Amino acid sequence: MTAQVEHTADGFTRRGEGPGVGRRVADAKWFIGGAVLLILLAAIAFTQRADNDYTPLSIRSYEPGGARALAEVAGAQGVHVRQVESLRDARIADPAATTLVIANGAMLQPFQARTILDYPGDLVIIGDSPALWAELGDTLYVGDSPQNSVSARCGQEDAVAAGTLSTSGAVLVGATQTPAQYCFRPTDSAGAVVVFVQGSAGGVVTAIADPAIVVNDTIANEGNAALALRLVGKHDNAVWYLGSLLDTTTLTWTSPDNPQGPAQRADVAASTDFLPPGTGNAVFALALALFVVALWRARRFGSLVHEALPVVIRSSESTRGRARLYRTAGASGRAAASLRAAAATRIGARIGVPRTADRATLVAATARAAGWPVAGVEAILYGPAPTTESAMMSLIEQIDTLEREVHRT
Amino acid sequence: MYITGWTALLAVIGAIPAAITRSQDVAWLWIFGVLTLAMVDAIAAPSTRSIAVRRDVPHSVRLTESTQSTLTLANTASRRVRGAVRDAWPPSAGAGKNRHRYSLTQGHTEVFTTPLTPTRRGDRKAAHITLRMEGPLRLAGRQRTLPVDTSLRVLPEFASRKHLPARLARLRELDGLSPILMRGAGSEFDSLREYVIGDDVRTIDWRATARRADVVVRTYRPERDRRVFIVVDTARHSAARVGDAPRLEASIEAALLLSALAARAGDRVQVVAFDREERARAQGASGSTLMPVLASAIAPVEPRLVETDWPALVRLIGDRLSQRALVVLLTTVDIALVDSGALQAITALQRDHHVVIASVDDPDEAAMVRARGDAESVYTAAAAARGRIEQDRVVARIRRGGADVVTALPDDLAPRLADTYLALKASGRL
Repeated sequence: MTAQVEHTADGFTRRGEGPGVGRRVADAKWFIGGAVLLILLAAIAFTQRADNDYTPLSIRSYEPGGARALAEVAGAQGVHVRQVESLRDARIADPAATTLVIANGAMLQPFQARTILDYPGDLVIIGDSPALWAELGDTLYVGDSPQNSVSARCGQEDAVAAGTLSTSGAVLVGATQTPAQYCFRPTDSAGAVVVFVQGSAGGVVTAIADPAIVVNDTIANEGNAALALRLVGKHDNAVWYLGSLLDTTTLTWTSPDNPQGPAQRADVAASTDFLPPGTGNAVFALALALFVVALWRARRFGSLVHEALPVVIRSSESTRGRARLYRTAGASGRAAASLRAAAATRIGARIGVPRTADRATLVAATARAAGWPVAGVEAILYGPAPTTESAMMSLIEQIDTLEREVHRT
Repeated sequence: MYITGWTALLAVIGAIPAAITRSQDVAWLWIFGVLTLAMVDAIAAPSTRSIAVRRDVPHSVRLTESTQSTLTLANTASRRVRGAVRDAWPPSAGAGKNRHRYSLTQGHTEVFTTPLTPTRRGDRKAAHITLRMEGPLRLAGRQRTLPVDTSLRVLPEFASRKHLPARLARLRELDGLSPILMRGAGSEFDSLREYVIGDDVRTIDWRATARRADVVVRTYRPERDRRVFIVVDTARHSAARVGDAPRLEASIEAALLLSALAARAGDRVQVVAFDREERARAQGASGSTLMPVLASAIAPVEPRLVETDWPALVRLIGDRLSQRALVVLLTTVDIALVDSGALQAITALQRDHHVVIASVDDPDEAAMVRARGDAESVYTAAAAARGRIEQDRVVARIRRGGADVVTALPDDLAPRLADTYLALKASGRL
């Protein structure tokens, strides 16, 4: 920005007296308003940010794929739902009164699956979890069914209460090792949407093949909410485990029978955190600092200076253009004529034939100087024009040879 | 407003508390804190009015030589002001280090120099001066750009001045001033002196000899006080590049050498840059004052993409010259001269004056004539040869009219033109 300037008598320049503060505020009102709005928006985003969560199946997520609706309703019914992101953080004190929900078990390791199935309380598995299926039965897997509305078709009381489920088509196929009730079986394909298994540790393991039953978007359809609430709200407490790739811990719980809880795997516990704690936050802070660095580097120390430069067209461009025209037109005759005339002028100048001399004089003098037959020199300098490029090339060769021979004398 | 590297560093340091507390909120708070601190610092910085600045440059500098721009900063505020200043110049002014840090207490001044080595002839208009005033914490400050009109005239290099001593020696020989066994050439009667052995007996003045007891000879010297009128053509042909620089540069070099030589020879020199109108003029000066006046007058001349107005040039020369003169036209001799009315103009000038046409040859075209190998280079050679033939025809036509033509490569044009001038002077044709 250039300013109004003030010149002093001794040649100094400085910024002139600027407008008053009020005037400057008035001039900058849009800028100030925009800045205030931006800060407000940032503040709102900052305060609202912690509440929402974009992780699928998270009980804090308002997104269609979240499970906040279920957690809120269960909470209103007096069930305390606690979300954990690592199995170690579960720390369940009373398995008999706590339901463990594995909301996203897709990334569980086999050793983690074993500790989960050793849990003495009730267990609900939502969605696909190959490691858990492998522990429950050799052939279990999640398959597809074309049917989106499935009725209970079993005697389990929760299933009967729910009646019909609205699903996105995922079903658990195969048989479990321990006795189980297969409910919500589609009529036209194998498998069941919900399987109630008698767990080896004493509790009931409920496998829900389809997360659509619990997510915000579809929980209100048909009997989904009934089933989900009855399963999650069976006891006063529920621990909602949201699996993640970084979690390599095993489940922690204690009970009156087993005050120590399950044995922790020493080797796994030792390798949980491979980066110092707070690294992620430090990287985040550096990313923010990068913005400040950008501000620092982006501010120019005064504007760039421009300058009109002279043209850069070479004088020989027109000659090159003419050469390309010759080439395009295949004007070998005209090109040869030019070269012949130029050579004749040079030879004439070298052997002292005046410019005004006629053709015969020049040819005779050249033939004498080169020691060539007159007819040969005549043909080279004044012969018929070449009609092809190759004829032109060989003629040029001869002209050059003649010129060299003349030079030699 | 601007922020300094310290602010950026402070922002980066925020990674440490964020790592210790393991909180993103701390990272956000740190950044906002740093930015707020920087803003407060900028507000606390001295006003941009507190520094007055003056830029001094020499009036002119010769191309390839170095000079400097001097910035004087004066603190007019009642407190210490720290910061930096940028002395902005266009790229071809060849400014070296042009950013300076300053720290001034109340009422003090400080001087900074920016070295300048211009890379192009002409008037280099200096750009703005940007001032930065740091806040007390050195995190941020205020910035203000002031337009300060300053201009540096870059004179032509006059590289051809290296040819001047040799030509001046030749001039002294012509004058008969050199201690050689040759009488002064030329046609103007100079003086009578006693005969010494070796003098040409044809120069004996018998009438004077009869009056005195000794044999007396006449001495001659070249004519003095002749008019030399040099026209530098700045029309479109002068814009094309020949070698590394526009054709105009070689013309200016030739004009400078010829002017220096003619001024020493006692002739009166006028130089005019012309295309459709007069772009620069140097006249009236003589002796040692001529060259600075001429260099300064011709320095800002730029090629124009227009056609030369030859009849107007003839009228201009007619107005300026009342007696016979040597008219030197520094232009381009090619086939285009035939259509543009140049030949008629030369004929018209030749009636009253002696005309010399000087033209810069293109070294590229000289190389292209010898190009051989594939068909393309032969066509190129043919095109160059055709151009050469056309130029030869035009040159022959001009010479038939009695004018002289000098064509040479850019570096050779100035000495060749000077030699032509000396030859004309020696033969008394001026």
